[in-house]
Order: sequence, then C-alpha cells, then structure tokens
Amino acid sequence: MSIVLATVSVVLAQIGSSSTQWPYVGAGAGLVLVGIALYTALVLRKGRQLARQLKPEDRRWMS
Amino acid sequence: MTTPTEHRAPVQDATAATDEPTATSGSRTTRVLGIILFPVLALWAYLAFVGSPADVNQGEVVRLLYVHVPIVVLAYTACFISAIASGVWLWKRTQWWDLVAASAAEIGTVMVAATLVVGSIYGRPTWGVYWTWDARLTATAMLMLLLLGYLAVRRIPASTEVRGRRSAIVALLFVPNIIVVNQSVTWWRSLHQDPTLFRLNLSPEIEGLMFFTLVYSFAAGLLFFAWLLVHRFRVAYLQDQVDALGLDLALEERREEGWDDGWTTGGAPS
Repeated sequence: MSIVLATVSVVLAQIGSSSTQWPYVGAGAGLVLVGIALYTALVLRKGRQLARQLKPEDRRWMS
Repeated sequence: MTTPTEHRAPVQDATAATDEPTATSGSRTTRVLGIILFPVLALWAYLAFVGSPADVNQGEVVRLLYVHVPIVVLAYTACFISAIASGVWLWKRTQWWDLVAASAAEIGTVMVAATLVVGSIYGRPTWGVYWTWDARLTATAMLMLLLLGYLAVRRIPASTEVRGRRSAIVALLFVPNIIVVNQSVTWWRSLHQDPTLFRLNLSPEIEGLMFFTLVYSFAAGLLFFAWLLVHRFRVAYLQDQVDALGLDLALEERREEGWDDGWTTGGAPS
C-alpha cells in the first residue's frame, strides 16, 4: 500500500512539476519565435516595397 | 519653373514599370531555400517540443535549450560576420561589405534580444530569477547595447564613407565582447551553466536524441539565418539604390531651378 501511495505521489509530483513548466516553455519559445517571424515579415515587406520603386536593372540578384 | 511633382515622374514611371509580383527581394535560390526551410523547421519544432525527452533535472523546461542555444549561436555568427565584413570594408572600401556588415548586425541585434528574452524566461524555473547581474548575463546585455549603438551610429546623418567608417569601428568591438560573453562562465563564478556542447575535453554533457535535437537545431537555425541574411542584404542594397535615385532626382530639381533662376547663364538667382 505504501509503495502504491509513494508511486502515485511521485507521478502526481511529476505531473505537477511538468504542468508548471510548460507555461515557461510556451512563453519563452512563443515570444521569441513570434518576434523573429515578425522581423522576417517586416524584412520581406520592406524588400517588396523597395523593389517596386526600382527598375529591374537596378535590382540585381533579384528576379 | 517646374514643380517637384513633375520631377518625381521618373520614380512613378519606374514604379509602374516594376509593379509586378516578382518585384521582391527574393530570387529563385532564396525561394527554393525558403521552401526547404518549411519541413526543416517543422521537424525542428517536433523534435524540440514533442520528440525529445524531458530532462531528469530540468524537466520539460529543457525544451527551451533547443531555442535558446541555437539563437545564441546565430547571434554570435551574425556579430562575427558583421565584424569581419567591417574589417574587409575598412580595407577594400566597397559598398558590398558595408551592407553585409549592417545586415548581419541588425539580425544579430534581433537574435541577442531574443537570447535575452528566452534566457530570462528559462532562468525563472531553473535559477528562481528572471534576471541577475551574473557575468554571462551582464556581458550579453553589454553586447546588446553595443549592437544598438551600432544601429544608432548608422542612423547619424553622414556621407556613405563616414557612416561606413564609424560603424565599422563599432562592429570590430563585437569580437572582444563575444569572447567575454563566451568565456565568462569559465573566467568568473557564474550562475549560468558551463558549456554543454563545446567543451575542452570534447565530451558533450548531452547525448542521444537530446544531443541530436540540439545539433539539428543549430543546422536548421543556420539555414534560416543564411536565408534571412540574403534577404536583409538585398533590402539594404535596394534601400541604397532608392536613396541614390532620390538624390539624383533632388540634384536634377536643383539644376532645373538653377537653370530657371539663371545660374547656368551667369545670372544671380532671384
């Protein structure tokens, strides 16, 4: 009986600790990935805006 | 006397001439690379957040390692590229190297900011604090300030030559700062853990699927970085072209005004 209780308490402790850790994982990864994705989108949008102001011969490497 | 609107007509013509879907900073190579990046990053996300096991000591929060460490490596890479390109610019004085340095520095700033954010969040469950004036953290914050200083220097109005020289000198300071950041955990007593992969005894403190996930994260991150750097470089190049076009038009306007006011015929402007 004590072994069962000990096992249950260990499992509950594991679940408890992991459930308190996931918000950190979500916040850390989410903030950073969204931030980098936004920066990337801004770079691509700026590139599109600038490329449209130039003639094709003025934007070498791009096609 | 002509109006400024009339003088801007060539830009409008150019806009009309290039108003097509292909008018972007992309090329065939970057499009192929971008398509390859989708499955590569999807596999990274799977490995980092689902496939790899939780750590015995850190638990699930170890998954932030697969975000934090690759971003740090990308930040170092960006700063090194910027410093090397700046050094070459000081030698060769060609626009290409100046733009490479500026593009890499801007990406480096984003990566160092991301490093500080994810590092702080990683620190809370592992150390109990979001921030402490630890040697590694302080040196990284100094690197962030240096990068912001670099971007500020580039915005100071100056000729291309002066801007390039000032910013190149600042960029050369990235290298000693990165060495301090990297070695801070061995030079001083630090709350930050010692290196996990790049150890002197060549014996990484991580193995199995966790080791593979970390190495894969580097590879995926570097591929993304290469793609982003090419785009950012092209944006910087396009910006210079547009600025030069604007300058040409402004000069043309002044010449026309000078002509109207009699400058070219020897008369004084009215």
